[in-house]
Amino acid sequence: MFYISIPPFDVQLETDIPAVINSINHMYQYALKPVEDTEKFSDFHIRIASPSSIRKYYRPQVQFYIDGKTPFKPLPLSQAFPFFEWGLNWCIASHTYQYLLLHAAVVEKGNQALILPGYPGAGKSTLCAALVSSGWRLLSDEMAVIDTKTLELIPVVRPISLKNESINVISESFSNAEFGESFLDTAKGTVSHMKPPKQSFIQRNQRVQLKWVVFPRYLATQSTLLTEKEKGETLIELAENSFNYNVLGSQGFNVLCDLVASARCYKFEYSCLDEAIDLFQTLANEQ
Amino acid sequence: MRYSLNEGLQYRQVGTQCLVYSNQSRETLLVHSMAFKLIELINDAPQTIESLCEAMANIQAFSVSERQDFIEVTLEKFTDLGIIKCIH
Repeated sequence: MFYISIPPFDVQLETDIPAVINSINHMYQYALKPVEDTEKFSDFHIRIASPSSIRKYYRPQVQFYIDGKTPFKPLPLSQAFPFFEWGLNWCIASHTYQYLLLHAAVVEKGNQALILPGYPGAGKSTLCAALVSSGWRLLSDEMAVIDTKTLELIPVVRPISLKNESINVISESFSNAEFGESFLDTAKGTVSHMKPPKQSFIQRNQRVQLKWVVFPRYLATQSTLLTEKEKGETLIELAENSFNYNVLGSQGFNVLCDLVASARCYKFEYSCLDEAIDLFQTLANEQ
Repeated sequence: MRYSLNEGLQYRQVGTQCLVYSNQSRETLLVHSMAFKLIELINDAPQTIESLCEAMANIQAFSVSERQDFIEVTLEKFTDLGIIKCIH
């Protein structure tokens, strides 16, 4: 049994699958709660286990259980850890209504947050991993969690999920980037997780105010280009990238208006990570 | 026939752009500044097409027919989107 502390959420995970146990011990090394804390409340009770069917003898599978229920079809056993990560994303996105949730990576520098929203394939996780490997603090790779009263970004420090070519790009460019196992032939192609730096876990209770919203787009032949984006259009795109904007109704609208009004908004096209990192460093220095 | 805002309608100017959120349709819309002006006028008090034409005459260089067309089309769209409602 694991008790994982990723404020503002506490996760209880039960599994006897060795690959998951190894990955959890590696990726969440600094987030595992001591045994004496295990009687405390957990937000999500998850179990990752092989379904008890005859299939386990010729094509073993793994199932994701939340409160004993199975919201997903089983996956191949080899994808057990990514299944946990995807399932936990779903748990947070579909059960959290006290915060505004955006599909975005969030990093911090100089106590100011940078949100990187984007549709799958836009290059946000690659950029996030590059920035985190270059000294920015990781708040979250998958979702921006926003306090609706204070507009602060709340860290949810978890592994950065990288796919296909971006795995090699980051591992070859940053010797300090620590990767787990590669999972082949998933629905998203090859997936590997980058371990968040220890410092990001240590600071996982430190919330940050938003400074920049940047919509990244990776284009293989594109020179680095940062252009200002109208705030109204930024809000519309953030709403489209939100998990629970519609559920929050007018509160979500007003939170996004306040958030965007206080931020500098850009779209960003890039192909060279070094140039991208330099540019964001320049932005951070302008404070 | 007069028009009033639907309950729970939210509208804000953010930067240079104007945004409207309808609680009824759950839609968030970017609207033109003149359409936004209509919402502000209707929020002040329920309006008829004639009173809106009159109010907009002070701030727009439209011809009378263009102004009336714009207001009618915008009100029709806003009604469809659940932003405003008719009071008979």
